Amino acid sequence: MDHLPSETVTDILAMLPSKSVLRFRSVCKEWRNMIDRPGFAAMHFNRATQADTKSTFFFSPYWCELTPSYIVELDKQDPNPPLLNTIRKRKRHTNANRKADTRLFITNTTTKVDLVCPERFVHENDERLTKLFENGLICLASDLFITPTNCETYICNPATREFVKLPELISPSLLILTFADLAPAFGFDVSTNQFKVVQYFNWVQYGDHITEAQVFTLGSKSWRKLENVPKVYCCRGTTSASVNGSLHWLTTTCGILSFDLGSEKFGHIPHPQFSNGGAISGARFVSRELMNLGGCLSIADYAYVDHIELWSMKEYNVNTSWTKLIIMKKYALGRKQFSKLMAPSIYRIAIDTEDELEEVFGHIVRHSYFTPVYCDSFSPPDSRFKLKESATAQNTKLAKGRFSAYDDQNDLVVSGVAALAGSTVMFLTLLWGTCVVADKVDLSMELDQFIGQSCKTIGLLLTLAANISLNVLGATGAGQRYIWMAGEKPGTGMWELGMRSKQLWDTLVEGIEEQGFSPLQELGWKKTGSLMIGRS
Amino acid sequence: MKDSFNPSIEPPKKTVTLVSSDGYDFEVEEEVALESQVIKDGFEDKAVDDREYLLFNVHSDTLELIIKYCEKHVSSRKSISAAAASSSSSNGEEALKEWDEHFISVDTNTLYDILMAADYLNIKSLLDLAIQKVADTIHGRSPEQIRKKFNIENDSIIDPWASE
Repeated sequence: MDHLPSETVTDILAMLPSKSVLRFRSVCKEWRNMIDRPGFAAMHFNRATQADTKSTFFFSPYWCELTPSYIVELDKQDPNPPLLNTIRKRKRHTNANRKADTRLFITNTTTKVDLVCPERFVHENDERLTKLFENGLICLASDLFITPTNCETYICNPATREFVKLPELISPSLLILTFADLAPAFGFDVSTNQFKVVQYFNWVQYGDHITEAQVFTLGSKSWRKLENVPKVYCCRGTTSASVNGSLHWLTTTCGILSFDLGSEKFGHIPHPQFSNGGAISGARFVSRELMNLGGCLSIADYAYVDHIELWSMKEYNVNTSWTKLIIMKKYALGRKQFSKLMAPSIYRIAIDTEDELEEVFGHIVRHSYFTPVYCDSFSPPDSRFKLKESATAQNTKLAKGRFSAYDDQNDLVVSGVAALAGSTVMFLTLLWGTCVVADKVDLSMELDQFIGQSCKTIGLLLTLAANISLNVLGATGAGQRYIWMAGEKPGTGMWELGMRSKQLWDTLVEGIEEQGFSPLQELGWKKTGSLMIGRS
Repeated sequence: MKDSFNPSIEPPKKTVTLVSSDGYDFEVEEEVALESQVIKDGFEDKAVDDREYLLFNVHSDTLELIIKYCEKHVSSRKSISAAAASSSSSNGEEALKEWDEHFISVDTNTLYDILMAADYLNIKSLLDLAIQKVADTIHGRSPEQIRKKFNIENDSIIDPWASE
């Protein structure tokens, strides 16, 4: 089979799963040129989104950068979608023998989870970086601005492991002696074929609430300040979504802030009539997530004990088209409907790490390998679509090198806690939210088991938060038990102590439930959990 | 001759002659031939008695398969729309998919011939089918196997991804 026309070969390559395409780059120069051509990424992405059978997804546990992510190749014709299968066997895991790497498999199917993306290689501060997804690229952006140097932004392509660090943000001139909350968003502007990152600043200065926004267009040299930024408070840790050529943020007061990527103008979309009230504040704020569900701007509200409220704006910017769906939690997993409904949201998968299975909760995002990562300080603008070979090779080496280092330090659990410093309790609350949503069990019935799982998951998270050289000095409040338990191996004295603490907590939660209140709302994780952290 | 025996009200079937590269004539119904975008494109401009196409790039063996494919698709499209009109449930599309699957399960050389012919005649659905088939067969192969299969010389420099 030789001398196929090059268009036909391109078509064939676009049909292939990303992994094969990557491998076939080395077949010959002609093939490589076809694959590296800028148009190919878009072509492959479209094919992958339209194909009925096989599709590649990016699986990213949590919102945090500290856990490894996976490339998941799904066969949609598989009668049992792998993500929805409950786990048949579960071995007890210990932190010591955990190996979170190499070949990973989803249970019950032949579908492979193939590649661990060591995103954390890019990350050296103890700041939390928010993951934002768009057309196969991931933007890792900070949610706290103290100085331009501490606030890093990366764009990475998880498959090719190319990544670029964006230039530093411009320090807002009004920002004095304080820090600013950031609300990052990442989107693709179809009209100009450009990726854009927007950072929305808000902070309080001498009693005044000040907002500012900066945009970065991939391929350009620096951030630009935006004009006419509305004074809307987007709390730190807010979620953003890219829908219909606009970026969106959940605000604390007036619904949804929108930003048109083409015209670079801000706008406003009213939020739906939530059952638990309009304004978003306190613990309820973090329980809501803005997302793009099948092209519709959607908000998932996780603040209920027994169900998830999912609001979807069927027609963009038509306020009457907000539609409410209620997902009962006990039906939330193990049913196919859930997968369709919650498409890019939270999934649970089981990952087989050599000798044990573990569950991971996280996001699944449709993914294509070939979206080129361009925009970097070391390549001139004209070659922006094609990273220099040497640069790519270097990045690969860097990524791999760092990644193996991370394997060695799996056991440094306690120090990993410090990685939560940047996000502290907010993050724990998010985590709680995740667990509540993703867990299949009825919360009131099997609370104990549920919390056990949360511990385990947090433990996993902390384990993965390896090489940050900080130590926890103390912890108080609700988060304490989890953190101490996470640092211990099951069976040891400290673990028992943690378990006892957990039981007390359970009793408390049950008491509150008996009185007919929601423990999540009443206890308010944000209020009770705090961490005292210092450098060792 | 044949037309005079046709009792239906439908107009008599018009035919088109396709000539393969090795000189065989294939007389096919007009709508079957029109599955090919190339034939469709300039079809109206051609005189009715001059509807003969010399397909220099398509061997008779391949042309036979292509015609079989087009006939099947034309007829099943009709039956599907008829089923839809009478709102009776039918799994025509499923059946067609299965038929396609069976049709394209051929050896590499035939697949290659079909692919080239579909490309030459610009039959979109067949081209997609063949491309998908080729993609399925090369999925998971090593670059070396690919070079062998496609008869490509290795002119690559060392690739950072090759080890994966």
